[in-house]
Order: sequence, then structure tokens, then C-alpha cells
Amino acid sequence: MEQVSIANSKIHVINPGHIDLGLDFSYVLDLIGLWNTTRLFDSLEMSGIVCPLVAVDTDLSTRKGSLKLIDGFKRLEWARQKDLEKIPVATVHMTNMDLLVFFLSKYAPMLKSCVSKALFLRFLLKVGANRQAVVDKAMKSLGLQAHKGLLEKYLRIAQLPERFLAFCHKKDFSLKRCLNFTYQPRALLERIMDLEGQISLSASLLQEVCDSISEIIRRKEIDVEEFFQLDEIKGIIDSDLECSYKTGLLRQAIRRLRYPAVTRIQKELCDIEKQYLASLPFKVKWDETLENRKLIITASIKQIDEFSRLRASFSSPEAKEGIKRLLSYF
Amino acid sequence: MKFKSVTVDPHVAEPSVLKHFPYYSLSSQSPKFSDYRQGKRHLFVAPKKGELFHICASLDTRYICCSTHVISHISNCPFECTYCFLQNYLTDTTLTVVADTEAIMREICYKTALQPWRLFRIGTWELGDSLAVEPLNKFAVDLVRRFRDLDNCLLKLRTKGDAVEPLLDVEHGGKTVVSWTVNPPEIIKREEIGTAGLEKRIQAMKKVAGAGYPVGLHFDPMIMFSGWEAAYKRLVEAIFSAIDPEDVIWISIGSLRFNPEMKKKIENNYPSSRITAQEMILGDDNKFRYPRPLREEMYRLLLSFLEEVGADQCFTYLCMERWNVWERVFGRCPSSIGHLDYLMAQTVYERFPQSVFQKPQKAFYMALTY
Ligand code: SF4
Repeated sequence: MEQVSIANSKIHVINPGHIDLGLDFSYVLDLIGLWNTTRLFDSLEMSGIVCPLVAVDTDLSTRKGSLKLIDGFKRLEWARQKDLEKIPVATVHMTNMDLLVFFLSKYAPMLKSCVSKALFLRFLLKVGANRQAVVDKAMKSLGLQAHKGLLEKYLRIAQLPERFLAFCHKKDFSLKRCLNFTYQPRALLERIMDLEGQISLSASLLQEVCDSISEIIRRKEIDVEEFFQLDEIKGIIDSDLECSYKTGLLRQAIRRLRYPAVTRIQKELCDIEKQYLASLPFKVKWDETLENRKLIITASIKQIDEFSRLRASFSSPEAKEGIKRLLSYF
Repeated sequence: MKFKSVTVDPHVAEPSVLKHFPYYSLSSQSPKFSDYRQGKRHLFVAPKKGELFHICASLDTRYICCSTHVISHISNCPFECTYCFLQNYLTDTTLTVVADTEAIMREICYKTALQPWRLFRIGTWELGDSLAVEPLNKFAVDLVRRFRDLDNCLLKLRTKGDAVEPLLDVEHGGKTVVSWTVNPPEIIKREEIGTAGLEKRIQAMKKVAGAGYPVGLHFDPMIMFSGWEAAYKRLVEAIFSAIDPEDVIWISIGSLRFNPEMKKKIENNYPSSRITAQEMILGDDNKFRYPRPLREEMYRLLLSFLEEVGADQCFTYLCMERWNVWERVFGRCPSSIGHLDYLMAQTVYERFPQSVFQKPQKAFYMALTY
């Protein structure tokens, strides 16, 4: 069970409805689905509220007469669900700095993901903590470099849509990865979350898909929903295909839309390879960006007589024609 | 262009510049701005510190580069092109102009004297536009005058503006090329914010050509958009209905390119710009470009338009492209960067003999290493 011991507190018994959640970070985590209450609720069913909740009466409090909860969010939730009329609440007076220290000691050690750190930093500023103190103290407590620019990056991440934040937290995406998503259209990130469960969204795939779709929608001057209604996209998403197969198809379809010229030429090159080179005992690769005129030919042999066959295959008319045709594209 | 502030370093060697500004403050510290766009509105006039003359920083041996030299005495630019690399390059964002022609010339003379056989093409546009800081175009004029007497150097002014009046009466001796970056009006309007419109640029070209300056044209960056083909055709026709290909010393062609960080900067700084939304491929040089076949198509088409107006007599080259692209576009390719340097000197010698002091010696250029 969570516990905090705070000196100079007074215990009151009050109605759960009279408690304000604006100062409780657990509430923020709960809002985006990052707070699991099941186990605690089970134990509360057994023993009831043993330890008083803690609320603050500070210079941060703007609404006179309301108590702002700083510890005991899960217990409060439980009490509200149970329609309890009275719960024990310890009230304390704290300065902004006391509060900051309190929050840091309570939350910083347990915040590991980039998203939870981002939300926490935003929370601290929102409840009135001094920006410089957040840089100097909070960032350090979170194991981050105390740097204003870095704080701005975390704050940018905290602006991502809530469902998307929860996803990034679950997947434990890095700062760099999360930051990249902040450049994507919000509507796209929200819409992509609808696909969770239907396609396998690894970090790199999510990045690739988002980059591609946002580029396509800007190029075609359509909105996110119009993109998902494109025949070649809708057909795949609405299909009953198995998740990984569907993911592969979707990825290919998006690539075709993003790189129409390159995919067309790649197909022509593959067709040449199939037509002329597929039956020969070597493999031919080309620069898929199409920039460099360079073919890489590889072969593996185990016996010396295979070498003579390999040599002969190089001078075969199909090999010459195939390679000539491939090179003509570069 | 009105500046929000003008700061002059008390150590500037040419205090006469002060008369161009009704208000300025004196300080050896330039004002600092984190946003490069803010820095465009604040001018700092600085003394020369360190070396300013060097080979173009974009030179890359993977490409056939034109190996131009530059004087980086201007940093940042009052214009605002959405594709400008400065947004991802400048750390000190204040628009800074070094006001010390004497010291700059000393450095140029010293360094160019080390290769007296070579024709140095020297630009002033590496980190800004050569003629956009109008109150200080006096420095461009001073350079034009001084280059007249430099045997083995050609000054290259390059602009998207039209502020050429101060150049018109200057004795330039054919040793300065005034160049324009050109794009169709659709692109100028959307992506080259604050620059002179196409018609104004063309009028300015006419004026400098009339004053005997060789004119340079840079179709770079060519940008793809719906209807680009017809737009570039109209562009070529508009330019060459006003100026004679005889007056054009060279034409460069290149396409839009930027690195991934720049892409993010562009999208962040100019959310309504669509230039990053086209099909682009990240090459092994960490630059996004249109896929090579599309670039080649753009270049070939532009060449055909140039041919139609008789501008194929002008020396035309590609900027930051590999040898295979040269071959596929022109059917030939210089064998090295030094070879291209030679070909450019040669074309100047043949078409603008007053601009060059002697016949270039191919062997010297071919022996250059980068
Ligand atoms: S004119 Fe050149 S330097 Fe100026 S903003 Fe445009 S690209 Fe940048």
C-alpha cells in the first residue's frame, strides 16, 4: 500500500466528492490508462481505507475551500465507486518547493518510460512548479540532463494524443522516437491507434507508416480519413486477413503510394531479373535507391567443378542480356 | 528591407558604412536569436575575423562538383526561402556582414596567387544572398572594382533580388558574373518569400547584361509540382525573350535536396509548404532527392527548353549530381572535378575572352586533387 508520512498534518473525515484531483499525478496517469487499480481495489475490499489520504492546502490552491489530493488517488477512486460518504484525509500545508520535493520523492523513482517522464514534467509545471527548479531538480531526479532544451522536448512529447501516449508508454519508446512522432499530424496518430490489434505496430513500422502517410496526405492534399478510405488501403484494413499478413500488405500498399516511381522501376528491374537471371547460379543486386550505377553479383560454390559452371553462366546470352538491361536503368 | 536593429562592431575597418543607417548601436557582440527567422531582421556589421575564402563547402567527391570558391562574408539572408539550408545550418542566426573589403581582398590575393594558372570562380553567396542586404551593396560594388584587376579571378554575385542599380556604372572589366537563381513564379510566390518576382529578376538581368556583365543562371533547385513541365518551359521562354543567350556565361541545373533534419525544420517552419511531400529518396549521402529517373526527366526537359530558345550554346552543368546522371542527361561527363573546373575556364576563355587572362592549361586542372 502507498504511504507517505508528512509532519504537521491534521486528520479530517470528509466527503470524497469534496476533494480536488488537480494536484495528483496518479490521476494524470490514470487519464491515459497508465494506472492499474485492480490489485489495490482487491485489497481495499478486504481491509477498507486504513491509511488516510493526503491533501494539501497550499498557495497553489486556487479554489478556496477545496482540498487538493496529493496522495491516495486509488483509495479515493475506490471510495467514490463505493459511494462512501466519509473518508479520512490528512491535510498539510506546503510551499511550492515542498510540493516539488514531495512529488519527486513519490514519483521520480518509478517513472521509467519517456512518456511517463514527459507527463510528469508537464504536470509539475502545470501545478505551478518553478521552471528552473524543474530543470535543476526534477530532470536530475528523473535521470535526465538538466537542460532547458531537453525539457522543451519532453514537453513537446507530452502534447501527443492521450491514446498515442499510452501506446508509446506501453512499448517503452525512446525519447528520439517519441519526439519524431510529435512532427506527425495529430489526427493521424489518433487514427493509427484504431489499428492497434489489427496490425503489428513495432516502433520502426509505426514510424515508417506515419512518415509515409503524412507525406502522402500532404502530396495528395487529402485528410487522414480520406487516406484511410483509399480503395487500396481500405480493402486491406477491412479484410479478415491474419495480422502479420495484413501488416505486410498494408506496408507494401503504403510504400507504393509513397514511392510510385521507385516501386514502378523496382518492379521493372525485378521482372528483368526474373526473365533473364532467375535460373542462373548467381544473384544480382542493385542499389534500391536507384542512385548508383552498380550491380553486386554474388554466388557461392562448394566444389571446383561448380566454378566452371558459374564461369560459363556469366557468359551465357541470358546473363549478358539481363545485366545489360539492368545496367541500362542506371 | 527594414531591419529591427542594426548593430555595428566598433572595430569595423570601414566606418563609412555607418552613414547608410539612420540608427544603429555600437557593440562588438551581435544580438543573439534562437530562431533563424528572427535573426534575419537584425543586422550586425562585423570586422573580419579568421579566414573567409575557401572552396565551396558542398564539394563532395561523390559528385562532379563545379569546385567554385566562396567568400563567406555574409551570413544569413533577409529573404526567406522555405528550402534554404541556413535554417538547419546557422548557429549564430543574426544577419551578419563583414565590412572590410581590404582584408578580404588581401586574403583572396594571397591564396589565389598560389595557383596563378587557375581561373578562380569566387562567389559571395555561400551563407546568404550576394545583393539582398541593400544598404551594404556598396561592399559588392567595392569587390567588383577590386576584381577588375585580379587576373585569375572571376567574382560571382548570386541573387534572387533585383537590387542591381549600384553595379551598373561600375568599371567591372568583365571580371564579375551577376547570377540569378531562377524558378517559375508559382515557386517564387510560395517558396521564395520576400525575393523579387520573376519579372523583376528578368528586368535586373537585362540591366546588368546591358552594362556588359556576363550573366549566370541557376535553375537550382528545380522543384516538382503539378504542372512543373509547362511552368519551367514558360520560365525559360520568359528569360530568353528578354536576354540574349550570348550574354549568359553559364547555366547550372540542380534539384531540390535536403537532409532529414532539414526536412523536419522545413515542415516545422513552413507547415503550408508542400516541397517535402513529393516522392523523395534518401541517398547514401544522407540527402533526400527526387528519385534519379525523375530528376533526369526534369533535367532533360529543361535542356530541351533551353535548346529551343538557343541557349544550348551556354555552358550548362549539373550541381551535386553523380557521373551517371551527367551521362544520362548530357550523354557525356567530365572525367573529374578538376576536368569540370577546366571546362568552365575553357568556356570563359572561348566565349568571354575579356574575362580571362590566359588560355587555361588542361594538364594543371586535371592534376587538381580534392
Ligand atoms: S536567397 Fe538563398 S540564402 Fe537567402 S533565404 Fe533564399 S536560399 Fe537562403
